[in-house]
Amino acid sequence: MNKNDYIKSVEKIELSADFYERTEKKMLEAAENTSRKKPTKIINIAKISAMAAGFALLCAWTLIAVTGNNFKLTTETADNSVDAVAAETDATMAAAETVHDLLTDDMQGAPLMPDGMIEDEAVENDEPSYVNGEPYEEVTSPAYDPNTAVDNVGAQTAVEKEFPINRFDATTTMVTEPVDVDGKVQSTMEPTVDNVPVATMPVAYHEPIITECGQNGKFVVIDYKNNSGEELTTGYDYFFYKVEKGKPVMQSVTYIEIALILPHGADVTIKIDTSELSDGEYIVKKMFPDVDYTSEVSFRIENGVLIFPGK
Amino acid sequence: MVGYSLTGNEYIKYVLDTYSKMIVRLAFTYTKSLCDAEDIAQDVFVSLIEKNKTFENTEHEKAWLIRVTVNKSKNFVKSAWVKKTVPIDEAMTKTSEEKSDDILEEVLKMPEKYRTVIHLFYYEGYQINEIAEILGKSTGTIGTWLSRGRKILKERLEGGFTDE
Repeated sequence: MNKNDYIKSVEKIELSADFYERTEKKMLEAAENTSRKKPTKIINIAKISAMAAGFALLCAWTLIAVTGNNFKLTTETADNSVDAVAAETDATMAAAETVHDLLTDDMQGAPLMPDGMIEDEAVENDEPSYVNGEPYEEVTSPAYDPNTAVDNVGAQTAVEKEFPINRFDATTTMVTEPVDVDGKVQSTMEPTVDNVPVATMPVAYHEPIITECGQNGKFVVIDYKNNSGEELTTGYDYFFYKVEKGKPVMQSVTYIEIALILPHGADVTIKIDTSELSDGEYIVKKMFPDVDYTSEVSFRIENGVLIFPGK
Repeated sequence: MVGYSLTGNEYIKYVLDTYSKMIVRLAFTYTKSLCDAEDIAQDVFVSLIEKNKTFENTEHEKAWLIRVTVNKSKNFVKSAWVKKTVPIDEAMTKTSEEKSDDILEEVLKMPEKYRTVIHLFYYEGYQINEIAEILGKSTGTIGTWLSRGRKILKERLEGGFTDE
């Protein structure tokens, strides 16, 4: 079977006879409802105008009150009228400004929260972010240990220059679905073709390290370690490429044998039989689809001899 | 909007004629029921009218419709009603051990993510990077899902499955 069989199979799905009629009717109704909603904007404008008018009235009232008091004070207390009028005027104007500030706090500064905190403080004092229901914790790589690492780690081949590897950087930025604070993936009812939601998550995986060279250089054994101590699930995909004209070309996966997957030790070992491989540069990529992350390691074969980066 | 030279009624006819089958068939890969798929398609078209979206070109329009269809289909499948009911035809389908000669039947048995990718790749003819953009995933993820989907089809179909 092939893709044409799939296309034929899908095309057997035929729509109901009245589907177009029903849907067209609904769409027309939606169009009418949408056009009816437009007056809402006029109402909003009217509401804003009313608020502005109310504010103007309040200002006018305050001004009248100030002027009236001043007049009263000036006529009744001739002796100390200048100081008294000035003090009364300042107090009244301050009160008026407070009213003005409260009415326009969104323009004047941070709004007050019910508990008296300003909004920015409330955000800063919030709970930390959660990922999959667990508190977010930065995971960092352990220190580089020359006794356990192979001597070729850290060197760059032409392949690595083309496809750079951050061997000891355990964090990265990924594009993934937005996550709520309770760990649930947000509903994405609205399309996000134009604006793909972006979130950052820690990646708790080591880069691959070549730990062993098999008999007569026939096998490359690569360990993938998970420094978070979490269980690695099986079923991750391994892809094997040969670099041709500077670009990786995917090879048959029959070269790769997943030799060992330990559930808790989190050592994932794959074997590659290099006896069937021609000279050239190769890349093994391991994908972590759940976290949208790919790690990779490279080596080359020259005159039938397996050579690791740096040798 | 694409088709801006059309009147409202003409645009409705244009989108219905152009995209109905595509949307219903894509939704069917989630719902496994024609009635439900048609309901989802109606919702998608109503959303299109209500949102009054502006599209750069027909590809953008198509991608938007696919994305909305996928989202609405996912929501439908997650709904309590669907979780509590099993369609009769699904209950009567063969067990997974039996080899099948109906490729669509086998695709519908696959996990949701593989189904969508297989459908968009083989039926709609999208490339991996395009599917990744539409679904908001990385190309690596889509490549993985497609690879796994193919593998499952090869195992389950009589005579295997080839791209050609």
